[in-house]
Amino acid sequence: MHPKTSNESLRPDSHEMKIKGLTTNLSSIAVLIAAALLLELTTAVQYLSTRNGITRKLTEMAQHDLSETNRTTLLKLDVEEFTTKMLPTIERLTANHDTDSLRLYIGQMLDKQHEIVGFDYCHVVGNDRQRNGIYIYKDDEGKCAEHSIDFDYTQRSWYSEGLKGDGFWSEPYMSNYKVILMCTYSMPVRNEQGQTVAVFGADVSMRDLSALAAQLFDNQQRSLLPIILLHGLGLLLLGFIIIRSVRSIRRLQVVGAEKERIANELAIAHRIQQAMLPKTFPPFPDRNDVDLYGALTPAREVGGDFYDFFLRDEKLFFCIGDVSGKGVPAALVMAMAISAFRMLSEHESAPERIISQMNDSMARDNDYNMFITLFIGVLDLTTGQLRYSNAGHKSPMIDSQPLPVTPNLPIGTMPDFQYALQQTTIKAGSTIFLYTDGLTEAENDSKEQFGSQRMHTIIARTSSEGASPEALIGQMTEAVHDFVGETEQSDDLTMLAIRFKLKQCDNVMELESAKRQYHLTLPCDVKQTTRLAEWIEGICETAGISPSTTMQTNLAIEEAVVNVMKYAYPNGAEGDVQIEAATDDEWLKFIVTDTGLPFDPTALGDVDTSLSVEERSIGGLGIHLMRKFMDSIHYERLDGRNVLTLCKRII
Amino acid sequence: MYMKTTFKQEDQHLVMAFEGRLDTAASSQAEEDMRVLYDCEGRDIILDCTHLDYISSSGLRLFLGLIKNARPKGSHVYLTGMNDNLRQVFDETGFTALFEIL
Repeated sequence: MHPKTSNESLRPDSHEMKIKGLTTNLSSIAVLIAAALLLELTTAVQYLSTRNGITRKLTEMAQHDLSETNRTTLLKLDVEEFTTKMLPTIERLTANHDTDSLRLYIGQMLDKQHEIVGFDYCHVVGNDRQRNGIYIYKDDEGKCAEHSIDFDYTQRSWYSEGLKGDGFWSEPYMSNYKVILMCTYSMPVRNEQGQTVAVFGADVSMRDLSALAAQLFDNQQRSLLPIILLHGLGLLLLGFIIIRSVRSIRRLQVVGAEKERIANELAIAHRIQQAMLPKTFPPFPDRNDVDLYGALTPAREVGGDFYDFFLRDEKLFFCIGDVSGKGVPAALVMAMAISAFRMLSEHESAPERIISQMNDSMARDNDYNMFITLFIGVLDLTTGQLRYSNAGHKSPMIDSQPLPVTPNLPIGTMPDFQYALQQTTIKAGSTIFLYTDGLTEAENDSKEQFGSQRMHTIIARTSSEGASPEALIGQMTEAVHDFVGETEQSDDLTMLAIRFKLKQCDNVMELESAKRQYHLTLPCDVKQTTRLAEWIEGICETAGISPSTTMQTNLAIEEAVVNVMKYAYPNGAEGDVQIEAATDDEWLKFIVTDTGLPFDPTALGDVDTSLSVEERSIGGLGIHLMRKFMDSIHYERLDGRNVLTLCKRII
Repeated sequence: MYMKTTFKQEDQHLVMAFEGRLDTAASSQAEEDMRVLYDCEGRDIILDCTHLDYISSSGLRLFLGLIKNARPKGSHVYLTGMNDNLRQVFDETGFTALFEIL
């Protein structure tokens, strides 16, 4: 329940953080690779489908080209027919050697045929015949022009092949006179004897074919464009995803680091809060009259529940509280409340006044309407008297019975509220069990609550077993855990158990075990302390007490009696001081009683014995010596009397 | 039950011997007796406690008052001959550290 020690490091584990960061990086890289692969796959699918589209398109174009070829075929036939029709006239004019008419005729025919860009007329070379050829063509403006052929036309296929047969189509070649690609249809020109005397050719421009090729190339370009565009788009998308991923990874890392920081701070806050609670059990190992145990399990790292206790002059001050809400806000108020309780109860023994002062200070500036249910008890360990005040908290259990409590109001709700004081006497051997609603309202997964019945059952069982407070809380905790199972704890769970056992010393006066009883009445006069010393020395001598213990007892009782004379009866007021004494084998007990003004020496602060001469004040030595030399001092105001009980163990 | 003081002036020292019980009842007489020590004027004071049986807070207050007076004047206050019981009272109250105990 409580941290045993707090030497665990409060610093975050940087090595662990690095590993976590690395893991984050690796996993983000894996995500990126997966995204890239996916994208590439998509691109591949896109590419394949695009390629199919292109293939389809190319097939279509091929078919188109075939039809183009048909068109070309038709063109060729036109040219062949046209040229063949010209041949008889050309042969006749050749036989007549009428060169001028021949030229004129060819020029006229050129105008009539659009597909033909020019005609070649070349004499056959050989036997004493020189090269002699003319080229009649359309110039750039479409007009008829003439040029004698000055290159060696015998090397051209249209010439050599044209000589042989009835008509020859050459391979496309670049024209010597025009920047065009062309084919030539050539045929032999024969004389009347049937001898070939010349070759006549018609040139056809290949512009149409060039245009077709250009169109095909353009189509291919246009088919590639969607692929390039798609790929570019894909790359853009990949880049976008990468940037987004990197950003979100960075954001995640920042959020993760922030979360880690908060978790670390909460862990530290948890330890600080646990350290505010009493954590040494048993808290009073050398006392046989009281035993207690406390446990606090917050639902979150920090919570608003608290308990506290301490012992002052035979009175056990204890409290249990529950701040409204949960988590950090409740924890802050809890810290405030527990220190207020500590501070106020140092000089104030009345629980209703402690609770009222806590209420006033909290209600005054309660902007956030936080409140605390609180129970404060002051148990007089010498008598078993319990004074208590409640501020809207659950009624504690005294053994198996709930302690009757006036509910009052939770503190923080209304300033100047008058909290009622209640009191009762706790029997020796009884156990006071305090708890917060986190116990009775603990829920299991069927939304059932642990309830007070289960709590009563466990209290009844442990009480019959005479279990210690630690055992009681241990069994209660176990029962709650069994009940809720795996369900998340919804509220802070806090328990405090106090077992009260009367000290033998306190029974001395009432019980037969007191071997001897003494009584002394002194008038209010400090000179009478001499009589007191003689009386005490007598008692101690009879009980066989050592001179040293006698001196210490003497000193403590003298201080007690002198205090009464000075402060309960100030300025020479008259009155008696009653001193009763009782001894048994173990204890020496004195009860100093007076009817003067209320005066509680135990409420005086202790002197600081470490101060220098200059700093030391004259007062406070009396109560200091009483505390040092007696085993217990206890003050009560009873029926208009100051009653101070001092006990000393004599063995 | 008595309390007696003896005062001596030796060279540069003022010596006061206590005898019996310095309790509350005796404290007013002791206070009177110790007044002579207040005129120490830089001379050291020796409080001889060899025969002092008992001291209560009233007596301790007189000792504290004396040293508070003597210190600023440059006087030392020595306690001699304390028995164990007395020494325990001085220890418990922190007075052991205030005085020079021989």
